[in-house]
Amino acid sequence: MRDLARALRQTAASVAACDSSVWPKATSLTFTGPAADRLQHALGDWHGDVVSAANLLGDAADLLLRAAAELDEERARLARLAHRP
Amino acid sequence: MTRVAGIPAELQALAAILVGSAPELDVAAASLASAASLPPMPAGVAAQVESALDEARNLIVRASQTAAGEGEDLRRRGLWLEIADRLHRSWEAVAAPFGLVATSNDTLDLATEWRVSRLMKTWNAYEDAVGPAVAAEGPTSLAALDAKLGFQESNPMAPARFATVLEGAGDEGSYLESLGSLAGIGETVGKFTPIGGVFGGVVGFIYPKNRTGTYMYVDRAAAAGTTAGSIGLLLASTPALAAVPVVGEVALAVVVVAGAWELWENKDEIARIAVAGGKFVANHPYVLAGPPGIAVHEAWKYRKPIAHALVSAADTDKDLADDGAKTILSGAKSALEHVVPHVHVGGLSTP
Repeated sequence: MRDLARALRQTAASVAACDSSVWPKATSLTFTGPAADRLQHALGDWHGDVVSAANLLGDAADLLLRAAAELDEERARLARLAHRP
Repeated sequence: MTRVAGIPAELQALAAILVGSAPELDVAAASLASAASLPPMPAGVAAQVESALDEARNLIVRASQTAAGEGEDLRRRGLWLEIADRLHRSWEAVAAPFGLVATSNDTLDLATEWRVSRLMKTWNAYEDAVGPAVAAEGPTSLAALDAKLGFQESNPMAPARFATVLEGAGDEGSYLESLGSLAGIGETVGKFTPIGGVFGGVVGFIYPKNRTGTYMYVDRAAAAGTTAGSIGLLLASTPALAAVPVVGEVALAVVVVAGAWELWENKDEIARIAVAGGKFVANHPYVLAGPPGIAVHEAWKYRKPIAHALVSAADTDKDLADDGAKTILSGAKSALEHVVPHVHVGGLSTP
């Protein structure tokens, strides 16, 4: 689970890197004309999708790490019980 | 033109980054483990992780598609915007002298008329104010001086302008002479006219107002004459250019090409005009029946009468040529004489 969490964090980081390379550039431009609204919405939606995906992956990684920690703790508790005289 | 963003280079840069992000997102989506390869984990956690991974994968796939699509769209917009900007810049560079010729002469005329009318109006007001006192008590009387000072007080103006009004004394010609600066501008603008004539003539030849029949021939003949005349005027106004042999040959070639084109495309009209002007066609009937190559050869061989025919055609159809073309065509005769010295305009001469 920890390996998966690391992989998910890595993927989340690469997805976030895409967003950080595109979004500042997109927001620095001023769009005008009939296509401006569509473009702005499209880029805004794109930004939302990428950020949401990165957050989901980060949350999933956190969940996996917490689950792994709880599992380790449970195993340790069981081990202590097994060694109790 | 729709300007989606201000600078094509910035659009292109954003497009490149956006398109470049698509494969990275594809790799990210592919790297997300499928549910089958997930490690064993508590049941509640597994369901949440699977759901999160599915949702994240869908979002990333959609983002990748958006990046590819919008990136390509932006790239095209940037490209067209760049093309449009380049065309606009080119047109501005080309159109500037023509705008100068086309608008400045009219503008200068209007400005001159307006200024003369203002001077006349001021003189009339001056006469109304001062004239009665001058008539009653003389030009050097105290009443005349009072009236003059009162006029100046109620009509404040620069001393030089007031002096111009008085010196001209209501004479329109004097006022026109006083506007020497505008005339100077007109002379400067006039220097651009031959350049505009050359370009306008070429364009008019390729795209005549009328595309068929006699009218097309007349339009093209007028345009060719305009071009030749303008080149001649340019040579005449810029003697240094005449020292360059190519320039003269180019001017001649314009006439020759025009002749070849028109010979083939408008055989009947050429015949009519040439016969009307002399015996050229009657003496060289094969020119009218031959292929374009022969026509070109003959056009070169008999370039002088062809040039003459072009000028004759343009002059013959005065009703069809617009004023501008006629104005420059009036210089075409002298220009052709300059370019083709042995042509005697007004009568045919064989080579």
